[in-house]
Amino acid sequence: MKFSPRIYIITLLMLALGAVPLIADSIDEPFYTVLFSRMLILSIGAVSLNLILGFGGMVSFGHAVYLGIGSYVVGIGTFHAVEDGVEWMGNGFAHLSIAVAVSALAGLVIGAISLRTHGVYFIMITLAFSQMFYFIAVGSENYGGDDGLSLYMRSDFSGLLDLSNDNSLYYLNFAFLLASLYLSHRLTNSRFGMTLRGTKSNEQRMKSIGFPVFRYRLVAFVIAGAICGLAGVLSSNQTDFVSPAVMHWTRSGDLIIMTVLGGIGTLFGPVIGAVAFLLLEELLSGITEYWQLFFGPMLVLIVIFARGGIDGMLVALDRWWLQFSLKKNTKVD
Amino acid sequence: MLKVNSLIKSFGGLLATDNLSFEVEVGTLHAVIGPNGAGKTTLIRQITGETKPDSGTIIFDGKDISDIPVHLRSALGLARSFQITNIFPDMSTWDNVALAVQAHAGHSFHFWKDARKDPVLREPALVFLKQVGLEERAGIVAGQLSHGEHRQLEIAMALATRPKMLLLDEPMAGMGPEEAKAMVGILQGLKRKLTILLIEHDMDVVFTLADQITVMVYGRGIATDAPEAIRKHPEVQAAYLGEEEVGA
Repeated sequence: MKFSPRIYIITLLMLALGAVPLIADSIDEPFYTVLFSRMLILSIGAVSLNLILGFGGMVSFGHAVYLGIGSYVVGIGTFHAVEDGVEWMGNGFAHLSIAVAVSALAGLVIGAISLRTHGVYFIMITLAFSQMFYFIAVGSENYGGDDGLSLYMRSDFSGLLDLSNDNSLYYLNFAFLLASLYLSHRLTNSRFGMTLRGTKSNEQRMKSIGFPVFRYRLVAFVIAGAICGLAGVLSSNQTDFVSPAVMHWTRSGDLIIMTVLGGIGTLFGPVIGAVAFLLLEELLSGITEYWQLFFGPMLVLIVIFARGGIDGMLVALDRWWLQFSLKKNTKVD
Repeated sequence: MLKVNSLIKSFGGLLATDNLSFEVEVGTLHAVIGPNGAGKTTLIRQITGETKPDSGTIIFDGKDISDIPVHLRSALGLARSFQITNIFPDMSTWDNVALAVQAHAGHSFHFWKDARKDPVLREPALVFLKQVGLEERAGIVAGQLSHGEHRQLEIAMALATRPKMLLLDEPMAGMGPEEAKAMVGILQGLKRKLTILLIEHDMDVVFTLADQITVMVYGRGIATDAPEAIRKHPEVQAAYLGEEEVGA
């Protein structure tokens, strides 16, 4: 097999992500574990968005809804577990399965309505739905309303995992990221995935060769929502806090930016994008208070000059490397 | 095989299809000719279901298909090629045809197995590519094929849906003479294997290939007959063929 700088860099990135807690512990900066833990969680969210946005061409502007659903499942569950002593409501497996079920159901409803529209209308309807969920959260005074809810415990995986340890949580996040990447890989190359790609490429043609495209798009929408719901469960465990802000429309925008920045419609693009996004945010905000002033133009430049995002740059690097190595070989001959 | 009964479709004040009726016999190649704006593409779109007629019925293979959606008509065995290239430009040529095979290989809720390694899809796709002479271009990204090759790919995709009837909307539009010749060869190879409805501008091609010809002018069908009779039809000569010496 030919050497590919792109695969090399991506492998290195994944290995580095796997080693973060070890490195953070050894330099005694546990803060980095928390920072990278956030990257992993948002990576999962971006990987799930990429299924519908990157492979299916559905620009959903409400994907943070599912982060919110997952977060509130943990928030509400642990609230009742601590306040009312309802033990099962603190259970991690209960959180995961309820978050998946509720997110899938929300995806089914939102998708069934919004997928009947296209283009800008689709974007606006998904945005409207996410605002609806946002205001439901703002209005739920029992669970902190606008101020949100502090978690007095994390999801309880008794006997298996102790999430109060940040390193355990980190590796749980990492495992979920690897699983979602593998799932994404299988899905997007299966018959189902080819159907999605075809619909993105030319929807009219898909219909004329006999595909009932609506049901495939809807199922993709539901799957993406369910995976993102899992990310929500992890997210509130990470921050020990839930508030309506997790599903504000700007969060949906962030997920889109991460996916586009990293490389839309590629397996690892969303991970690269989420890591780059949060790293830039961290670095720039350390330099100046007005970091967004620099962050915005940077994103614009990357989108304009690197079509295909950072992963697109790596593909270009691969091509350059191939030519470079061919030249070297011909010289030797 | 296909029966169109008093079909009417208007866009605003314009009658694109004006009480049109004709019948396509099983196994024949039936051509529709007519000057620009005669409503030929609108006719095809109504047969495939992309446009809804105002009134009239379309009977295909004994079933009234006037009210059923596009993908179900495809499932019944209607396939079309487009006047403007209509493919999946960012996928490989092989993927394009494999997707068309997949469309009629049961549902696509298979989430796990790699579709690009599935011989059930890939092997038939290759056979259809061979049939239109594109097998050597299988690995190329479809968007990079030449214009003539796009048209060939369109036909391979239409064939891959295993239709009973093929609707071809100007398959030779914009082709050079060499490419057009190759396309006539492909169509001759398909004749008798399938029922074909052909819309085409090139008179030589139409008179070489067609068993029956319907002439359309301003949405009306002014004649349906065998090529020899159409040549002599006075109304046809006046309305469409004009002063030109036909088939000379």
